[in-house]
Amino acid sequence: MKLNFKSIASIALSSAVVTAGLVALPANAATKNLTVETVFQLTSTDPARSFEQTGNMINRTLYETLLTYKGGDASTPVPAIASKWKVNATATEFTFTIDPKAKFADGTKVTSADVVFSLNRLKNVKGNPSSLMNGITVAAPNASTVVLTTEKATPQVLAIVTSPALGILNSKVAKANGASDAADAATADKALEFLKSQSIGSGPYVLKSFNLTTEVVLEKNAKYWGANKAGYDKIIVRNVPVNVQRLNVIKGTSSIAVDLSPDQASGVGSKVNVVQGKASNVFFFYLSANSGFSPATKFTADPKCVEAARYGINYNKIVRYAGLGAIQAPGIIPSFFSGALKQKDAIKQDSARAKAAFDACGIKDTPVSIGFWGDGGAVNGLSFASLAALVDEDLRAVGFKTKLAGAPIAVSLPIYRANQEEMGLWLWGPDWPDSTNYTESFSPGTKVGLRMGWVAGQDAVITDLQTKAATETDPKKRAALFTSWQKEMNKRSPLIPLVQPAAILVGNKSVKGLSDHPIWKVNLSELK
Amino acid sequence: MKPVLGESKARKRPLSGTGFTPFIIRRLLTSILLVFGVTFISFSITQLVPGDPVAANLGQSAYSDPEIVAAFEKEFGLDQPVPVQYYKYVTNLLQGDLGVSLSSKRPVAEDLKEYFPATLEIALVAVFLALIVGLLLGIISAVTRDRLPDQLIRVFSLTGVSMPAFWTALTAFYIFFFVLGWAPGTGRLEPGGEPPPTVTGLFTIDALINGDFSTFKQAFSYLLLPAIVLAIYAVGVLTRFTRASMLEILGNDYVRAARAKGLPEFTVIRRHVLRPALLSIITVAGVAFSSLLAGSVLVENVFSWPGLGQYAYRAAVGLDLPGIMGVSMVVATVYITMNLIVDILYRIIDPQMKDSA
Amino acid sequence: MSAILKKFKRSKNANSIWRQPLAVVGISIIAIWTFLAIFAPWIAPYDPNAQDADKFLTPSAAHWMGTDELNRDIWSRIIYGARISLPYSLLLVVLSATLGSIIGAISGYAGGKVDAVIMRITDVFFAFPGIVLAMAVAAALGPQIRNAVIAITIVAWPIYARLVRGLILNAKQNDYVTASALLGSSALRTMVVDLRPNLSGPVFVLASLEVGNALLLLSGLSFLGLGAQPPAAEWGSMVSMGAVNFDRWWVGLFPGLAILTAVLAFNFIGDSLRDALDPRTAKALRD
Repeated sequence: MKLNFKSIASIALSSAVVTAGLVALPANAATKNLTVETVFQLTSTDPARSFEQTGNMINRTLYETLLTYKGGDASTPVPAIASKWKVNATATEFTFTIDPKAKFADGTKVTSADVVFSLNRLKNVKGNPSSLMNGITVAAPNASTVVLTTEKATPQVLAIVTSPALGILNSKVAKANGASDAADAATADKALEFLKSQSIGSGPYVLKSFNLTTEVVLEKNAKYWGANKAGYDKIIVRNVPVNVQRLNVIKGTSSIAVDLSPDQASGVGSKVNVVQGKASNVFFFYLSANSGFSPATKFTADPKCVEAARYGINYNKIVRYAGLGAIQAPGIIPSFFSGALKQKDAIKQDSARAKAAFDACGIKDTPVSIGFWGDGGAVNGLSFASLAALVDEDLRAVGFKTKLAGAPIAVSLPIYRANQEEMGLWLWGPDWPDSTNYTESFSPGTKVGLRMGWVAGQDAVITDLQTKAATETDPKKRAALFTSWQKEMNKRSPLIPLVQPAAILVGNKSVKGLSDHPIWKVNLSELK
Repeated sequence: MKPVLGESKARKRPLSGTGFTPFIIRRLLTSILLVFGVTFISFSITQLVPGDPVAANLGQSAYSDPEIVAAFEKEFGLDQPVPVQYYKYVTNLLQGDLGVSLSSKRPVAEDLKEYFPATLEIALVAVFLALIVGLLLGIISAVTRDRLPDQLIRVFSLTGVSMPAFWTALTAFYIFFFVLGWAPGTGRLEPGGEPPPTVTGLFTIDALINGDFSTFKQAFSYLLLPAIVLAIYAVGVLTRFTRASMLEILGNDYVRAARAKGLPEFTVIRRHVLRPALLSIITVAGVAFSSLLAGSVLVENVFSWPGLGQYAYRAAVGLDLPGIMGVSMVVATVYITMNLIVDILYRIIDPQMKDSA
Repeated sequence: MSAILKKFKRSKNANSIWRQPLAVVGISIIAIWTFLAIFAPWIAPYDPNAQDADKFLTPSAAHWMGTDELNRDIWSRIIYGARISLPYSLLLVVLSATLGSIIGAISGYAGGKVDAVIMRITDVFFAFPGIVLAMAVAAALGPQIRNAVIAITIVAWPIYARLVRGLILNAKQNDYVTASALLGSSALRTMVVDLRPNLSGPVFVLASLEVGNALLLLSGLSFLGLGAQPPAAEWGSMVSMGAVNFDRWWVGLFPGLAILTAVLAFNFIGDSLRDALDPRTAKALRD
């Protein structure tokens, strides 16, 4: 007999068992279970309030959206609740026809009222993902048609409606349990707890149990309306540290390990598949100010200092650290999005140029600090602290007097967001899978632009490209605009894209249909 | 860093009244005041330090939307002045309401109901193990004073209190899980393992109540390794304390008298030394227990044990004030209650006891 | 320190400290760590922050303790780590002992209501889960070793306050204090001139007992990412890198052993000092 804790426990207990008598254990009917292990990035299973990776993965399966993507694709929307859709020429009006077969798990038909309710609720609860609905109005001309309108051309609406945050709830049940889509939903909506106890969507699985720290269990929706029925009786999504994920998937204790780095995925053995995709996250470095600035002054980094940093960083070393499948990020837009730059466009380290630029830059002996997510923060297996240490070494070689200033996300993020970092190392994951997300976030005067000390009106060329890209509807012209925007950014912006890590999924060979998706990582519905 | 670790005698507080009932009432009142003191100090300290809980708990896009920020602040009362926030906290506390956690968005009381039993379970097992081993080693140490066994045990117990718990946990996990495969993985149960119906929240006990032995065995096998790691520290503390209390009594006249009477050494030790020392040893075990609750932070981190320590860590790095205060309250209340019980026990045993500090 | 040790030597039980093998072992270990810390640049075989393309090399002749995920030499980092862990734990103890002693002295000397209030406050701190508060403070101040020291000092002073107060209450009953008060000495003078010598011994012993704890807490905070910042080679944060890559056993094992030996050495010294102290004060320390 192999000695282990279980056997020690059973020896210790045998006497107790004898006195208590034999207890019949319920026989387990053969059920097909899937165990998915990940480090939880989860707040709830309320679509309108959840915007984290694990939440997206689970909600994508519980709640269907109007449109969705198949497999690892994030560019061609396919029907989900909407069987047909139409976009007007100016990309301001989007008409969706609801599939007449679509039914919620309790058998109720999905109507346009449910869609309007769910989308307005998302907008009005003012939760984390609510900003996805900015500028979008929802209307229902009849029971099977939904129309989304925007004031200016917004071609990315088709991408936005695939976000799990726009999942469709059964409005009757939701309202009966405290949900509200009214303007004051931020305070009036009381459905959060209810939505953690059960799901009211139309997906192939329903929520069985929810625990924020240990596991979320999904159960087959026996009455699923679609063609792709659930492949498993139960899906268990567990919160497990990365190193244990690796071990469990090798041992076969779990079916899928979500968070391994390429490094950890190597040498996992022959019993498992390693699925490789490109992560949608891009790590970037930026210089906001030269030094000693106060946030009130809109003080931007000296272009020469930026140039010194841009050409001083050893990108090859960073890509090697990131491991197999990772690539240098030539621009901030990830490789699989429209208008992404090619590897040949990427900046290459040029120490001589960097040193020359540094000599012309005004900071010399002034110490500057680099902010980042410090308490062990890691995404796609890459730790911010290690990346920061790599960049730090290169910048010091150029002449910068850098000092690393990492902090827990709760502390470092506010500093970054308040434009109070001199330099920062962060990453951007798309809010919706479309290149506009980048032009609208990194241009002068936009969200991240401001954090980098890049105010509106600072660069007319880049702003012009940004505006054009936002309203252009022709796919080819859009792509060209995104490319030029990034090239200009690489010349003058304080932004230095570093690395696009590999996204790795490791799954037991028995699991079919595994592919890595940039937004919801694993499409649980597709697994058989 | 608390004196707890074997070295506090909180019972020696000034007693001015004489009757038993006034004594109990006074001690109860002090205890309640202490709990409020804990809320006050944790509240002030967390208010004094900078940090923006709103940004910490809202995502990228949401934080840049002033409406969303305002909604969040209103929901959690963060838009109120600080004294008002504290006043509200205390008045709610009096009604048993610990506020709503900023990170889990659930009532803190609900959260604690879930996480506290998990930690309680390993801490209880750890104290139990530590008490047995610590008593045994302490007695051996005391009766072989300054000879080889005593010296060895002294080194052993000092090593116990010198080991960084997070490293011990890591090393134990590496050896027993990764290399030997004896221990099951992280967490409290197998993947998808159904927790027994909640009565106490302790999975082992609940499983027994439910007559479900397979779940009991499973839960027990999962908790054993973290509990042993947690116990190592407590063993050191209890061994040292047992030795010290026994030596103190061994020096007393009545022990010499008993020996002079020609009683066998074993009987002398058992009847005249161990018995009187036992109460104070158990006291220390009780106090050590409350420090294990807090000490579990580092151990739970390694074992992904969904307990109070993990909750405290998340609350701290998320600047989740209600969460931090909730954890502090629970641990402090356990500590204060332990001291209260001990005080009352001493008073019953020795009504003549007076302030000696 | 030597002056205090001499004082111990002169006292009745004193010279026993040098005859206690544990104390000698402890002092030797600390001497070795101090030596390594001071002469780190000459002893460490590599630059502690030098990175290159490889990673996670197993221990070998070239890298005695292997390398970490940025291929930094772990042995060199441990040597440099002594420059962080030792001085900061000592600093921490000095700060909390000073703060605690002052508060305790005020409490004991003033007596009455002041004493009652201060003692209730220390009670509250004892009831407090120190590490939880330290985590919160360190997280909010921003993790830096300096802030971790502040955070721990905030929770660590009461034990000294209680000790000093107790000693002062004892000393107050002594004739010479009463005498000097009668002679019109100021309170401050009485405290500094007459009482200090009686206090410094026990406080020093308590402090020596607490250095180990301080090191444990400090490295614990760093382990959680709330202490020293990268690329600093701090032992606790090195262990946390081992926790992330725990199948590479050498990454976490050796820094942990460094912590263990240092803490153990301090505890050997503290424990022996306490035994060398006269029994009554030793008892006060235990209480």
